[in-house]
Amino acid sequence: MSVIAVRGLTKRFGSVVAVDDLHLDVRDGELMALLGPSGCGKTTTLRTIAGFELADAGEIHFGEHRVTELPPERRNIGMVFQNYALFPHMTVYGNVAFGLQMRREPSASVRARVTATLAKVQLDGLESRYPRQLSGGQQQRAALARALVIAPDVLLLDEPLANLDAKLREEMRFYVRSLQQEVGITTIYVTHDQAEAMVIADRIAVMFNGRIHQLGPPDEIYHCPQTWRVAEFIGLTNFIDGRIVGHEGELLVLDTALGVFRCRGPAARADARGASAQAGSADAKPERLIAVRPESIQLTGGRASAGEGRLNRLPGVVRARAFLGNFVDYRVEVAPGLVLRVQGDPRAAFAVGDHVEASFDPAAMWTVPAREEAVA
Amino acid sequence: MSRRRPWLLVAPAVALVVVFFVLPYANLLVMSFFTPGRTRPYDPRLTLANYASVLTDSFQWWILWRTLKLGLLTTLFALLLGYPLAYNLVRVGRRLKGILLVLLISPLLVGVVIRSFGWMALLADNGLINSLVRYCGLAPQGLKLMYNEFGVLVGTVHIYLPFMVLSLSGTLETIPPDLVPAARSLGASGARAFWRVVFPLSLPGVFAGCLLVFVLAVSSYVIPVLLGGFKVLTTPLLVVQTAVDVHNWPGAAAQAVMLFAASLACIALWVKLMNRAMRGLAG
Repeated sequence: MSVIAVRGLTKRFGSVVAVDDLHLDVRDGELMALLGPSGCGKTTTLRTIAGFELADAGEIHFGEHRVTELPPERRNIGMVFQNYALFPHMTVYGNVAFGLQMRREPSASVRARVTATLAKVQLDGLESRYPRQLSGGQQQRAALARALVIAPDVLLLDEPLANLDAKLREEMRFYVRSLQQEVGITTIYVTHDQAEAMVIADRIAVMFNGRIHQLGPPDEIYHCPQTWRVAEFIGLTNFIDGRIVGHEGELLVLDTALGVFRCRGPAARADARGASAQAGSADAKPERLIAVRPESIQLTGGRASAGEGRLNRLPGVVRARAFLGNFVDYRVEVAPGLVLRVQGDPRAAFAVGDHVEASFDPAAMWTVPAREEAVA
Repeated sequence: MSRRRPWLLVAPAVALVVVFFVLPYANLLVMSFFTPGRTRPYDPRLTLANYASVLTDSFQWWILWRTLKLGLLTTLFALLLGYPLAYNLVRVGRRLKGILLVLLISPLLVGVVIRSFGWMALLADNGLINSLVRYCGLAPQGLKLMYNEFGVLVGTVHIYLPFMVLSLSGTLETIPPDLVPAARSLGASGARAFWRVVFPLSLPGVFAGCLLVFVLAVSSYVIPVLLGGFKVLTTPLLVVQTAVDVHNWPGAAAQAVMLFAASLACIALWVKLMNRAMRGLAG
């Protein structure tokens, strides 16, 4: 059962289309991350679901209820803002009690529920502090308590960790995830941080220009990006322009300026769970981009020659290297002007200027529609 | 030398305040204890007679009460008119905000005398409003809009409104824009979000704006003269009359000190009241 259903949501600001015919289903108890660069429409989508913006077109349902035109105060949502938006003139207790007071709960019940919720987020004992007297992490937890105490139908989080320092941010990812699991609340989590989305989400919707390019679990988003934008945004990706010239079993054969490559075809992709919402429709055009992750390229030493029989292998020269502890980051020039990013084993290090051979595992390469074909 | 430099930097301002503010006030205070003179403003013989006559004169008390009442009413109406103005001013787009700010401040560029004359043209017995009222047959006798407390109030509210709006908008600007959505998400209607969140957080602006308008209104001279036409006497008018017409400078000084003390008492009450209301806003 989907608790949040968004159908054809469109939101314009003047001539700018912030959200463009967006469809989204969030399942009961699921944490869905809306991931994308700033300006992709993820926050506008969230604010429209919350009711702070009214949709220009489309429908929003919470369970059985159509909430498209309801004001935010009648949607029963819990929301956490990027800057927490705690009321500065109220104590922690006052902040958390606010939503219950608005629901005209008797004060004994307010006290009991606020106390229980503050204990759940480990803020017991800080009831009479003002927000400015709390650390960033405590403010964050107070904001979560304030959103959860009203037992909302859905929890909406807008970049909730963006204002924390790096170390605390990483801890809070796990904290927010475990709290969400404990409460079992259906959640939408907006972030531009892919690592945050990977850690926290059941499924990720990757957005560009007001549309969802791909929706799926984190591993699928990483291993099978379906548009070049997704591939470029999530992790590092090398692209090679190619043209499909045939099939070999499950492998696609592509002709490129660097020679013939074989890579994983659409059959392999179908193994991945779930189809994507908008992207990934069968693309008849033979022009494709071959995509390969830096960690999927093997480097071996020695001067090798290109040519027939040297399947998925390219000679190259190391142009730059950076030691990063668990791997070495190389820039390998495989053709004039074409530099590949390769992450290699730190124990077998190559020096700048070394001649190497890059080999590509067909199973770790996939194709996406060429840039001209990509959803604009 | 370097340690003394900050003092050197504020020295001109301090000198200005001392010469043109502190010294005249001290002079006024001292003068109020001197005996009125025949050939000069005062004779340097100490006396409490000036205060005795001011404090026992019920007319003086009545004028003081009217002065403070006009000050309070001006403040109240400036707040009621200014708050919605300031509230919307901080919410409009940047370009419109610039235009509105210029419109708001532009009356300050025209002297208070000219603006009062403008109101006279509107409010006079044969002014624009009365001509219109008579033309429509609403009140054949015309309305008494000027040379009464109403006329003075119209003038002071209009002329001091920018001070209220500027200090309110200054505070409203600092309220994080997400607080209202946060309150709405927690179940507050727009009105409740305003009264529980926006209004309490705007109290420092209410505090400063009211203080400013009250002080200006209580001490205003030109507006009551022009729009009250000496039919609405206030303490500042009385002070000038006593000093210039009656040539009783020490008596005028005592009246001025009385107004000063009464205003100070009102302000002290206001500070106490607002301090309680703004508990929790500090820091």
